[in-house]
Parts: sequence; C-alpha cells; structure tokens
Amino acid sequence: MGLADKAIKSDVHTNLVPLRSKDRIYGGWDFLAVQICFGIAAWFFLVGSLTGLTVPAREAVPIILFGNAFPLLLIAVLAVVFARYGVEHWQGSAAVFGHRLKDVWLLVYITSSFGWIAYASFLFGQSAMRFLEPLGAPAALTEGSRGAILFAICATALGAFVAYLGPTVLKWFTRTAAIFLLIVLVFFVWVVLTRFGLGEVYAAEPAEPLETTAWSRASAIEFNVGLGLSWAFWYGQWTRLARSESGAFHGCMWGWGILAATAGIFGAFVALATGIYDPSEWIATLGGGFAALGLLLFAVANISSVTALVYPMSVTLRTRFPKLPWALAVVVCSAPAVLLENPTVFENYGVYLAYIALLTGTYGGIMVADYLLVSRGVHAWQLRDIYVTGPASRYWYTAGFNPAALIATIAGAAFYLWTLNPYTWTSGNGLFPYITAGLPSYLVSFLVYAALMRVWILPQRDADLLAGRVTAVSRETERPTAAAR
Amino acid sequence: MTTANEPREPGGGSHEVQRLDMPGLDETLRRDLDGRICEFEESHQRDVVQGGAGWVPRIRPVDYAVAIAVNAVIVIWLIVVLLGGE
Repeated sequence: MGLADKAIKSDVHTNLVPLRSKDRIYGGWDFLAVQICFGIAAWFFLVGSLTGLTVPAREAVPIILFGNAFPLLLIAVLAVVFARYGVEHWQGSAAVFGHRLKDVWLLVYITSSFGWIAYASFLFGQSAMRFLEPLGAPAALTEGSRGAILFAICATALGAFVAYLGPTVLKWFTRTAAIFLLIVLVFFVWVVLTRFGLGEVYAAEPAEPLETTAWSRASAIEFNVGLGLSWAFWYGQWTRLARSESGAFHGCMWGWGILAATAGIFGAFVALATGIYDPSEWIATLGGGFAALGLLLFAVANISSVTALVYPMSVTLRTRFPKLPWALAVVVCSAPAVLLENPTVFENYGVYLAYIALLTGTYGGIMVADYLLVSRGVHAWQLRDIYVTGPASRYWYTAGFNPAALIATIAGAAFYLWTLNPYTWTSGNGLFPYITAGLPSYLVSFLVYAALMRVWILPQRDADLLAGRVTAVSRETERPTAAAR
Repeated sequence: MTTANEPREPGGGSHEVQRLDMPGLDETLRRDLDGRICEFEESHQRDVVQGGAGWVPRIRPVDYAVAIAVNAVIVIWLIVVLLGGE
C-alpha cells in the first residue's frame, strides 16, 4: 500500500469514527484561517459581480454582508453539534432525518455540489482562454465557448486528480492557491481604487437591474443568502476537527461569512465600475501588464477550489460505502460536473444559487430546529443509534425515514417554489420582492419539523423505547436465524 | 456485544444492547468504532444529557452574543439603506 493509499484509508477511518478531544487538530485561530482559505474562492467573486450588476454600491455592500453573515448565524449551531459529538456531517444527520432519508440528502449534497465544481472549472476555462489568446493559440481554443468548455473539463480532471492523490498534496495545493487568490484580490483592489476611486463606484448605476427596485433588491439578497446558506452542507466535515465548540462556531461564522465576503464586495465594485460579470474578463481588462500573471494565478486557484470540493465529497461517499474503490469515489464525485460546464449554466449563477438556497435552507431549518428544540436533555443524540442502521436504531423511524423531517422538507421546498420559481424567476404568491425565499423557507422547515417532532414523533419514540418496541423489531428480524439454529 | 433485546430509556446509553451493523465495515473498523462510541457513552453522554460538554469544551453564551450583536448591526445597516434613510 502506497503512502497516498494509507493516507486516504486513514482519512476514511478518521471520517467514520467519532473524534475525541485529543484527535482534534484545530484551535480557534487555526480554524478561522482554514475556513477563510476554504471559503474565499471564485463563488464569492461571482456572487459579488452578480450583486453589483443588480443593485448600486450603497445597497450592494450591506446586502453582501447580510446575505453571507445572517444565514450563517441562523445555521451556526451546526458547527457546535458536530464539534460536540465528533461525528461526520452526514453520519450525524441520520439522527435527524433517519438513516435512509439521510442517504437521500447525501445524494442531494453530492449532486448539488457539481454546480460549485462546474463554476470553478468554467472560470478556469475562461481564464485559460484569455491567457492563451494573446499568445497566438489556435482560434478553436480562444473563440466562442468551445475552448472554455474544453479547458473546464481539463480543470475538473486535474482537480479530481489532485484530490485522488490524497490529503498531503491537497493541503499544500489549496494553501498555495489561497495565497494566489489573495494576491489577485489585493492587486485588483488597488487597481480599482486607483483607477476608479470609491466615489465613481458609489455613483455608478447597476448594469442589469430587474424590472423593479424591490425585485432587484430581493434578488440580490437571494443570491447572497443562497451562498450563505450553502455552508449548511459543509459544517460537520470541518467542525468535528475543532478543539472547542467556540472555535468551531467562530471559525465558520467569520471565515465563511464576513471575512470571505470581502471578495464579494470587491466583485460588486468591479461589476459596478465596468459592467463586467466574468472575473476572468475583468482581470484581462484591468490587469494591464499583470493580466497574464493574474489569469494564471486565478486559474490555479480555481483548480484548487475543485480539489477542495471533490476531496471531502469523495471521503464522505467512501465513508458511506467503505468498499467503494477510492478512484471510483473521486470519479463519481467529479465527472458529472462536466455536464454543467457550459456558458448557459455559467451565465445563470443566480438560478443555481436560488436552487442551493432552496435545498440548504430547508435542510438547515430542520437541522437547527432539531438542535435547539428537539434533541435536548434526554433526547440528546445517542452515538450508537447513529451508527446502527436498521430497525434496532431509534433513528430508524419509519423504514429509515423520519416522517417529521420528510414533511418539513416538502413544506420548506414547496414554500420556496411557491415564493420563487428559480427557473423563471417569478413569484407564484407575489411575496418574493417583500420577504425573499430562502430565509422564509428555512423558517417554514424549522417550525414544521419542531412542531411535528414535539407533538408526534418524540412522544411516540419515547413510548416505543420504554416499551421495548424499537428493540422488538430487531428481535423479529433475528427469529428466523435463531429458529434455523 | 449482544443484539437488541432490552427496553431502553429515552436518554439512556445503549451500548450494552446493540451491535454495530453498518454495511461494509471490516472487523478492525467496527472494533475501533465500537470502542470510540463506548468511550463517549461512558465519559460524556451523561454530561451532554445534562447540558454539559461532549468531547470538547462547550460553547459559552458570550459566543452567541458576539455573533448576534455583529449581525444586528448588519441587519440595521441594511434596513436603513433599503428604507432610503442613508
């Protein structure tokens, strides 16, 4: 067994087994630094650009801060719960959703993450195309979208390959790339401030506002809330490594929130000053003599983003299916993203963010309700039942599905789609310009889940446990074996 | 490790009555996992049920207060801007 194989096997072991205090590697400041490196990436530049195209600067700044900080406050307790129990994110989710519904959400997590991979890869493709254009590369690679698509596929393959190599290569690659992105960010902040100045940025009108001011504002909030809520799928993978619940809480709260959102504010300023959405285009336009270097650094940073997504997804999948070969896990968690790597998807980032808000708002509402109002005191999570898959587990619920979580999922998602159809960007109930959609659907899922658990599922589960009916199901399944003996 | 055959309390530890039966686990991994769960059940489960710490020190109310205060400032800023009071 090679070193990389050993490291990956060790990661799968570490991912599956609850981590003790002495296994934890991140103190408070370490954790903050790690989350900034993981968080600050192409998607913040893109959401900033989108916001700057939709609303003026004086609205864009508080909207970006609100959209990337307030949702994190709403879901911040997820950092605490996984630090407390040390369990992997999706393993722990079984306590809330039931073992089989958790698997459905695991599938949603992996498939929805293909979008993040696709955006980072396509940005690599755009950067590579613009980098090669002045070097006299063939027109097939630099004109239209063919070159960008081809390079995007290469970026996905390269990012997946780095993920395949294992955690040591990954660690150094992502650290280096985070520094590259910071260099790009600092340099272009200086360029924008010296070339345009804050006065001009604040006086600029957005290039692509929606039909009314209310729709523009609500849409800009929704884009950012989508990114803010998206972290709901990524807590446990990291916070189970924290040495304290406080460190886990603050690292995610600020690292993924206000600090990483500075990249979004900068993206908004550039979009307002230039009317350009694509970061690779403004690097080429504003970079002057440093444009080529900027594009190169940005391209490498996007491969790092792909790797930083594919690796934890693959480890999670392998943890769920321990016999799955590592190479296959990496392919399953990366290859389908290629289908999304095209200009249509790239130009509809807002639609993607809305779908992400739908999914993660619903998921986050249920998980947070469970922590705050359900799994307290005697109902605190029981680790063993999280790992026992079958009727003997208290988290088996009804055939592996928690009916309360299922109904809350449907209620939250239905309310979202009634309030905002992400595909047509219309509101069925007309409420979207006033209340947006992601945050209210979070609230709907939260309330429905908490109410159903308190009045229906918990009393029933307690009665079953006290009467031994949960374990009786297990005895039933063992009778044929006993009889055969 | 025996299989399930006893009534259980809602908040009670259950390691004496259930065997880990996750699909795909090899025996080494199952043993490690079982040991780790037993350690939590013996050392931390009672604390968690009583509102205490799990594996690591528990979060303090001041942590929540700081986050709420910062977000309150951002929310007020946003409301002021959207109402056109700037």
